[in-house]
Parts: sequence; structure tokens; C-alpha cells
Amino acid sequence: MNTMRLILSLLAAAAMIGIFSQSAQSADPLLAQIKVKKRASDNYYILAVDSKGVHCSKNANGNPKTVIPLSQIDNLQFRMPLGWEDAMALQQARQYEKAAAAFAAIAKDYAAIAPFVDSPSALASYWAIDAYRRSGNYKEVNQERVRAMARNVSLSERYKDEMEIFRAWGHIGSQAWKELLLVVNDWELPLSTSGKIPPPATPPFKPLPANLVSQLAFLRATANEHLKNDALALVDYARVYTVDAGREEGLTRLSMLGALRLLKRHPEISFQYTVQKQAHALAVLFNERFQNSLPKEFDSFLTPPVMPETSADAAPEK
Amino acid sequence: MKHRMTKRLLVSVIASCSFALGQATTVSAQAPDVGELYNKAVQLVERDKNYAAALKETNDIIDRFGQHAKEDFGATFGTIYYLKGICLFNLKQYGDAFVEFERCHKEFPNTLRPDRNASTRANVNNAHWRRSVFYMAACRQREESWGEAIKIYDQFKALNPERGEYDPATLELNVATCYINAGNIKHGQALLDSVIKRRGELRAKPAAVFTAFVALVNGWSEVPAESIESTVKSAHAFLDQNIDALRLSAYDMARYKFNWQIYQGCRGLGNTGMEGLGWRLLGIVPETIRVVKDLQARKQAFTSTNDKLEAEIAVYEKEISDGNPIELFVLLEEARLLELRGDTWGSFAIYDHLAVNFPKAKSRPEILYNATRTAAVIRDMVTVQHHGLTFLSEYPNHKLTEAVSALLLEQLFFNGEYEKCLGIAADLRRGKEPGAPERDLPDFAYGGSLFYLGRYGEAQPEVDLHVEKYPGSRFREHSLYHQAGNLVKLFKYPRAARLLDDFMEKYPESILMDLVLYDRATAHYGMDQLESCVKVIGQLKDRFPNSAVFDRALVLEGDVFQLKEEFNSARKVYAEARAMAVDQRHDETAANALFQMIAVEVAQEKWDAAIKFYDEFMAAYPGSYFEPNVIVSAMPALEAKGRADVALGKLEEIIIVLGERRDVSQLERALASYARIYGEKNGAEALVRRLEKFPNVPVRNDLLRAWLAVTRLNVLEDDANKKKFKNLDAEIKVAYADLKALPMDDLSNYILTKIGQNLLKGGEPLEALPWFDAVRARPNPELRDIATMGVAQIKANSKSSAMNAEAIDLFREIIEVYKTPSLIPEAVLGLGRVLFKQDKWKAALDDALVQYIENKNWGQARAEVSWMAGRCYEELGKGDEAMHAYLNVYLPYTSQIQYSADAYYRAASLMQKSGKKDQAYKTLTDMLLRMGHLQDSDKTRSIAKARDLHLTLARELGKNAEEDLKREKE
Repeated sequence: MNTMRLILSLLAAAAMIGIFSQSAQSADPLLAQIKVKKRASDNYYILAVDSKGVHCSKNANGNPKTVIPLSQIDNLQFRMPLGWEDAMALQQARQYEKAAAAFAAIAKDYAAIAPFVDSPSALASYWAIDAYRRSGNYKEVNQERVRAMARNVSLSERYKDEMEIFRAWGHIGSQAWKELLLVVNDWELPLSTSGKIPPPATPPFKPLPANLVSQLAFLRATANEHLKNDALALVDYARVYTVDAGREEGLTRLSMLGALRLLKRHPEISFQYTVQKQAHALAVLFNERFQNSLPKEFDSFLTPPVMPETSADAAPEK
Repeated sequence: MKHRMTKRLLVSVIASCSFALGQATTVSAQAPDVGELYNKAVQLVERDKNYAAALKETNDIIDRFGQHAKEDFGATFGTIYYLKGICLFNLKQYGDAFVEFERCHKEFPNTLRPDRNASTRANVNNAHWRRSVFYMAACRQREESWGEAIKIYDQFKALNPERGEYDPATLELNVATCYINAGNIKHGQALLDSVIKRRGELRAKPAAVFTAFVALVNGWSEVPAESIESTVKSAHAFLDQNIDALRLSAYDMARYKFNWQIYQGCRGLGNTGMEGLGWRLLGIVPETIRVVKDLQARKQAFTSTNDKLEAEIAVYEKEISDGNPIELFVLLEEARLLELRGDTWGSFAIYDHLAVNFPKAKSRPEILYNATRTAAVIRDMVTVQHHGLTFLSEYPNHKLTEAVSALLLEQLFFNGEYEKCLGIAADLRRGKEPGAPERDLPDFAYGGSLFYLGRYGEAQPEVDLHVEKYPGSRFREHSLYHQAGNLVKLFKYPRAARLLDDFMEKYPESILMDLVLYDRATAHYGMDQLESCVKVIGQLKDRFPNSAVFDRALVLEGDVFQLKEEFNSARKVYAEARAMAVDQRHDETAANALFQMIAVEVAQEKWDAAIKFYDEFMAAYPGSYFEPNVIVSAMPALEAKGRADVALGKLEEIIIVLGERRDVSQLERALASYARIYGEKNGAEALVRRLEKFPNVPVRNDLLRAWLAVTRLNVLEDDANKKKFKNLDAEIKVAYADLKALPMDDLSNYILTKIGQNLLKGGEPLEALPWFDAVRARPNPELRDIATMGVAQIKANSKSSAMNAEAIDLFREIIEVYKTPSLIPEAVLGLGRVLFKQDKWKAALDDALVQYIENKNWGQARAEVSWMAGRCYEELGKGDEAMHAYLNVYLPYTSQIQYSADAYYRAASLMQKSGKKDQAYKTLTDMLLRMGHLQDSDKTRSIAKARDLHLTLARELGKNAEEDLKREKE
């Protein structure tokens, strides 16, 4: 973290949070490695941050205290608090509900340092929201976002896009489909209607990491499904489970089910071989991937469709 | 199958094993110490990783001390062979390494004691005695002798090695890998599963575990076909249990190349029918951006710059910026796997994503092609066009260009994008012979597009060609409809009717049947078969109540009623048609129906109703195709209601608008109507003046100026107006001059031809040539036959034999290609004349003259033709035929002196030459009686020559020529 950013972030935090220790009495003291000018880095327990500087101690009990002026600090890196590894383990084990609760608690306990860029509290907010999203608790996605905003959570550039996209997830909770589409629209590349090449049926998304594209596609698909734009929704559900190579299991599962729902009500499912083949392929892939947990309503898709005979005089489709 | 082992077991215990053997007592003080040599070798291995140099050292030690090693050093000397084995192992000489390890173990057991140097009893053990067995197994593993490796690993375990001697995790992973590679997937997988579950206890390194996992993935793809199902099930279960434990950081996946190994493994799974499993595993490969983020996070742990990390970040960032990072290949493979499984929507989504997000991909052409193809399968026509046209703009000459064009063309055509079709179809068929299989689709689409765009004149030869050349085409049904339907549009009803009837018989269930019935009804109407027209309309209404042409059929029905003057029925049906067309937003049909409703009211002199509909039309359909007709039609009503001048003014505005729109057919009709009405009202001369100074003509609208000039000419050249102009010829000349002054591009074929004919008639053939050539050069075939005739005539009359030869080809073109009935007699005549001129007697007869003579109703130049025929026969030595031909000149066409006089003379000459002097004399007498008083005006001087011959024959026959002529006269 460069020096200027650190100082500004510390000053901003100091302006906003006052005495650190008052707001974090229930939390374990937070350890940080501080590099003071012309000295080697050392570990300190952070007690408070204000305009005078960082109030800290070498001991967890806070004694003796020392104050390091902000102007003397070259670098400050927080160590992750206790409980962080457990929370992360839960996240990686895909126990999202528990992970969300654990991260939310950390975010709350260390709320005072939320304005520090990528502080443990700020990161915990991010992970909590992500875990809520993955667990399907969209209401809490919204609420945790609001809490994060209230705490002035500061995250570095690499989290910005995802935090913005979390905003859209909140709309699923409130079932505001048109509003959701509008939010998703902000992430789309504008369609060019001038020139000789017509635009595609749906606007592509801006260049983003695949997981974010996948999330946006899911949001757009969900909105379109509820707005009865089935053809658009079907392609977007396909985007969800493919562009990120199915990395996020929850999204993959939800999107394949979404696609299956749409295929079930597709106007040509009873006679169009391509559509039937698609439904069959998805049903079989789903069962294979998710331990034969295909919902009963799609059981008929497990039977392979019959390929129609071709005729030499068959008229091409109008 | 290659197996990569980690190098983890390059055990550094070598360095800890100091070789303190002491000296052999007989060694001189200057000889190298074995311990020093050994340590040197160890340093080369440990510090320098210079295995080749270390090998030399160990060989040196063995050379110096090996012969009596057992006696001098006992078991400990086995360490030398172990070290040598390590060097060979790292130099990948596994067979040789095995020998050394085996030697270490078998020849230097710890029971071996040196015979001498009792003082060096310490450190006599072979520290690597057990470990060398491990390495023996490792060698066999490297040599892919899996079974033997497993046996030797078991032997190693049976030796109860101590914890510090080996890494238990590595041992178990190696054994698991050997089982897998030996084909015992079940057992190998179970062993690996066990290691993963005990990874903490075993302190297994994640990368080593993953290496074994890669072997398992490859092993899955090699199971026999009958085991695939059970393998897939068990593999998914394994992944469900262990996928999280297996995960490495993005950077580790990249730097150990595990990402590429998994990618290859997934390809293998896809090739053996395990697409779903392969798809799942592809998700393990992280995107390169994640690798970069991983490295950036590691960088943050350092307070100062870490050059190595920076360099690594730069490497991966370059992979992204170069445009071909691993995720591109992962996605391509995913698309392949999903499509193999039948998930076309999934594969489309991927190709679509790749097309946008990987613009620099080397495989971009294939990506765009597949995006186009899969979009077509899922029938997203809009995106088909997007990707297809993107491909064509970026890769106009790629090996896939034709395939993309064909895909795009078919989709565009059946999606109604006819303008786009024309360009693509033209490109696709360029350079290919008609009838070539690759031209089937583009020829079909080209002709069909012209048809649907209303360019009927251009369309007919195209649709005819497709029908002729592609009897087996999968577009046959549509093609036959286009052919027949287009003929209806060209008003060629008899042929259209036959073809439509054939179509209905051949394709009774055609999806085009409603259109076919509508066209058939139109053909009936065109041929005044009104009852049949109504009957067919009835069939259309019964069978296709939801047809898109239902409203048009109603209008046609109304037209029948109107023709039969059943106005009430007509009114009702037109109203119904109008309501339906308005509802379906068929504006043109609605406008047509309303126009007809005006005509019905005017026919019954219901002026108020007519004016009401007129005003409704003008409000709803300004600028419509029918607007000029509506004004003309409503004129009686407008005149009755005192609005005629306004209507004429409106017509003038319409003419300006049509000129600006370059709508030639409408403009022509509007001007014709205007000319008629204005002329009737104000007289021909006033009309011509008005057309000369037509109000509000835009300065640069040459097209409009041309048509105004043509309209002027039509008035001037009308026989009915001959006496209405003082200087008619001058006016006509000026009008043509005005036309010729305009750019050719703005003049229609009709105008160009008109100018050419005028120049030709006016005796300026060479000036006419460029006008006719301009028509011939245009893609629009309208009047091309007439222009060709013009050019042929010009070239036929030239003195140049090269031009004459061209004329012959052009006349033949008219006769054999165009086959225009009205032009054929003239073309045959022209051909005959040129061939005659070139002294090609036989060709003139065979190709032209005989045919002309046989067509009795070709009356234009019979005298000339028969005379030429006579001349040809004469030249060919066929005297009787020549005489017969001449007879057919002078008897029926005596008054055509230029031919009859010569025919007479020549016939008489032939008679004389064949000895029929008396007959010759009589013929000449007859001739001179009829035309003897006339002067020879031609070059042949036939009368003078006849007179001479007559005298000669008189002498020979002892007759008195003068007296015979007098007597016959009397």
C-alpha cells in the first residue's frame, strides 16, 4: 500500500471513527504490522486511531500504550483477526450461511476500521455479502450492503465491480424485475446501430472476470424470465453455467434449473427436435453433476428425443 | 502415458551424511581423501544441481576406491553408489540409476563391515540402504513399469523405514499413481482418496497431491468402454468429496502447469464420452486474471518491491494482453464438450462470449464461424447476422468464408433480409459455373431476393436458371413458386398459370399454398377468367383464414365485382379488406382497398362518398404507391366538386416527390396521368410548354428532367397531335437534344433505347451506338433485346468486316437467346443481309433466307429476301433453285424495281445458259414491256443489260426484238 494512500486512509478513518477502542470493546484486539519511518516493521495491537496518530501497544492488554503519528507511518498492515480463518474455511467448504454469519460478525466487531482500505472489517463485509449471495439470502445481501455503506467500508479497486453487482442481487429479493434489468443494463456494452453490422440480440457485458459475467447473466436471465422474455432468458441462463466453466456450483445449479423451466414451457418443446435435444442434454448433465437430484417435473427430459427423418423435398423453415 | 513425479524426494540427507571414512592405511599423503571427494560430489548435487559433474566425481571415487570398497569401507561405501544413482536419476537415466541403487542396497547391507581400519568403526553404516529401495521403485515408475514399481514400493515398506528416511505422503502418492497408470483405477483412486483425507497427518504437499490427481484424471479417460458409466459415477463422487481439498492457488495451478494438464485431461475425457465429467473438471482451471490477482496479493505481503513477483505478474499479464490465455482454450473445449452432449445453447453462449471478449484470439475465425453456426441452430437470427457479417468483414478471404456466407445467406433469406442477401449471394457465386453445386443456395437466394424486392424483370432469368439447373435442390419448392409467382408479377399469366397448377399438384400441402392460390387467382383475373378467379379466392379463404394475404385476396375479389359492375358487392368486400389490412398493418393493401373504394364511388357518380374516401386516403397514405392513381381516379369527383385544379396541383407535387425518390415506375404513371388530364384541359401545346417549364424541379434532378422530356416527346410524337404544332420537327429535335444532354446514369432503359432509335432513324447510327450499349451493359434486362437489335443493325451496316461479324453474333443472340417474337423477323433478315454481304451464300440461305421465306407472314422485305436467295443459289451453282427464287421476286413484286429488274435479268441469263433461249427471250420481252421505259437507277444496270441480252437472243433466234416488243404492247 503506498504511503500517501495509507496516510489519507488513516486520516479519513481518524476523522470518522474517533476513539477506536470504544467501539470494539467486545472484539479481540487487532494486531497490525506497522512500518515506522527509519525503523524496521514491528507488530502492534491497535487501540485507536485519531488525529494524533495510531494508539497502539505491543501487548494485547493495551499496556504500555504508545502513539505513532500518522506522518511517521510508512506502512500499516492489519493481521486478520481471530475467526477469520474459520470463516474463510466455511466459505471454501461452501457452508455459506455459516460463513456469512461469521464474516458479518467480524465486520461488525471491527467496524471502526472499516474505512481503512481493505481492512479486515471491510473485507469481512465483502465476504459476508458474497456468502449471503451464494446462500441465496438476497434480503441479507441488501442489508449487509446497507450496513457496509453505513460503516463507510472502503475497498480497493479489485472489489469495486463486485460490490456494485451485489447491489443488483438485492433486487431479486425485492422482485423488482424491471429495476433489476436497468441495473444490469449499466454493465452492458452499448449496442451500435449505425454501420453495416447489426447488433446481436442481447448486448454483451463489459469485459469482466468470468464469475462477474456469470452473475450478471444470471440476474438478467432471472429478470427476463419473470418478464416472460423467455428466449433472452434461456440464452442468458446458458451463459451463466458456461462462461465461468461452471466454477460456482450454486449459480450453475440455479441456472441449469432456470433453463430447464424455460424449456419446459417452450412453445416448440413438443415437436422441435433441437429444443428437445437441448432439454435432454441439460437434464442428463444436471443429474450427472448434481447426484441425480433433477426435480421430478423434468423427468420426462431424461428420455432421449427421437431424431426426425429427413426428407429430400423437405421445405426449409420460413 | 507419461507420468510426472515431483522431485520432492531429492532428499537432502545426502548432505547430512558426511562421509568420514578415514584413510586406507596404504594411501599416500598426496592421494585425495575419499571423504573430500564425496563431499565435493555432494556439493555439486546439493548446491549446484550439476548432476553430470557430480556423476564424474562419483565415478572417480568408484574407480579409485571401488575395487576394495567392501574391505576398506564396508557398508558405508554403498552411499557412493546411492549418490551415483541420484545423479543418474536426475539425468533421467533411470535404467542405469536403478542398477546403482540396487547395488547400494544389495551389495552394501549394514551387516557388511570393513576388514581393515578397525579404528574407523564409527559411521560404517549405509545410511541409504533402505532409501535406495525407494529409489529403485521410483526408477521403475519413471520407466512406466508400474507393476514392478508397486512391488518394490511394497518391499520398501516391508523394510520398515523410519520417518526421516522418506516422505510417507510421497510414497503413498507414488503407489497410488502406479496403480492408476497400471489401469487399476479403483484401487489407485481409493489410495489417493485416503491420502487426501489424511493430508494433514501425512503433511502431504498440495502440489504433489494434485500431480497424482492429474494422473487419476488421465486414468479415467482410459477406462474401457464398459466401465465408463461406473467410472463417471465414481469420479463425480470422488470430486464431491475432495474437490475443495484439491484446490490450489491460482498461481500454483499456473506455475506448475497443472492448468494445462487438467485441460488436456478434459480433452481426453471428452474424446471418450465423458463430456459431463470433463466439463466439471474444466472449472478447476483458474482464469489468468485470477493468477495475476493471486500474485498481486502475495506482493502485498512484502514491504519492498519483489522483482521476481513483478516479473511473474508481467508474464501473466502479457498472456492476457496477447489474447490467447488458457481460459480461451478452456472455454473452447467446454463448448466442444457441451455440443457433443447436445447442449447447443451452452456452446452458443460460449462462442458468443468468446467473440466479444477475445478479439485477438488466433482462432477468432473459427470462433466467429461457430458463433454464427450455433446461433443459427438455436434460431437467433439477429445474432446470426451479427456474427456472420462480422466474420465476413474481418475475413473476406478465409477458408471458412464460404461456409459462413452460406450459413448467413440462408438465415438472412428466410428472415426476409433480401437486400443483404443480394450482396452475399453475388459474392458466393462469383467465379462458379451455373449448375455447380456450390451455386445452389446463392442462386436460389439471389433470384428469390430479387423477387421479394419487387425487381421482377431481373428476377425472372435468375429464378428460371435455378429451376433449370438444380432439379434436386432442397429449395426446389420455393424456387418453383418464385418462378411462377414472378411471372404473375410480369403479367405473363398463361405461363404463370401452368406453372402454378403444376406446383399445386406437386406440393398439395405446401406451406406456400396460400400465396400460390392468391397468385393463381391473380392469373385468372389477368386472363379475364373471372369466375375461376372467384373460385380460387374462395379456396384460399376456406383453407387459410389466417393467411397473411387474405386481405389482398379480398381486394382482388372486389376487383372482380368491380369489373362485373356489381358495385355493392365490391364496396362490401373492399371495406372488409381495408379493415383487415388496417388491423394487420398492411398499409399498402389498405391503401389499395381505399383507392378501389374511391373508384367504385366514382363509377356510380357518388361524388360525396368518393371525396370522403379521397380525403381519408390523402390523410392516411400520403406518398403511397397508389397516390397518383387515386388522384386520377378521383378526378371526376374532384372536378364535380370544384377541386380539379387542386388535384392537378397535387399531382405536380407528387411528380416532384417521385422524382426525388427516383421511383421511376410511379413517376412514369404519374406523368402519363398528368399529361392526359392537363392535355385534355389545356391542349397539347400548353401541355408541352408546361412540361418544358415544370414548376419546382430541383436543379440537379436529372432523372426528373429526363422523364419530363420523355413525356414531352410522347406528346409531340403522338400522331393525334401532328397538326397542333407549328414546328413539330424542331420541337422533337429540341426534346431529344434535352434528353441527350442529361447524364446516362439517370436515364432509364426505355429512354436510352428511345434516343438510340431516334438517332438510328435519323441516319446517325454511330451516334446511336453508345445509347444502345448503355442499355446492354446494365444488369436490368429491360429492353436489352431492342438495344441489341439496334447495335446489330448499326454494325451490320458498317463497312468494317469485323463489325459485320459482330453483327452476325448479335442477330443470332436475338434469335436464339432473347427469342422476342416481334424482333425475330428483323433479326433473321438482318442476319441474312450480313451473311449475303460477306458472300457466305450457303450460310445466308441455311441460317436466314430460307427461314424468312418460309414464314409467309413476314412480309417486310420478301422481294429483297427472295432476290438474295436467288443470288445465293446462283453463286452455289443451283440454277433451278435460283430461277425459282427470282421468279418469286419479279412476278409478285414487279414494282420493286431494284430487285425485280435484276431478278428478271438473272433469270433470263440462267435460262440462256441452260439452253432455254426461247424462254429467256420471252422473259426478257415480258420484262422490257413492263419496265423497259424505266431508267436504271441501281448499280446493277439490269434493264440495260436485259435490253442487250434481249437483242442478242433475238439475233440468235432470228427474231425481231423491236417488233416483238411493239406487238406485245398492242
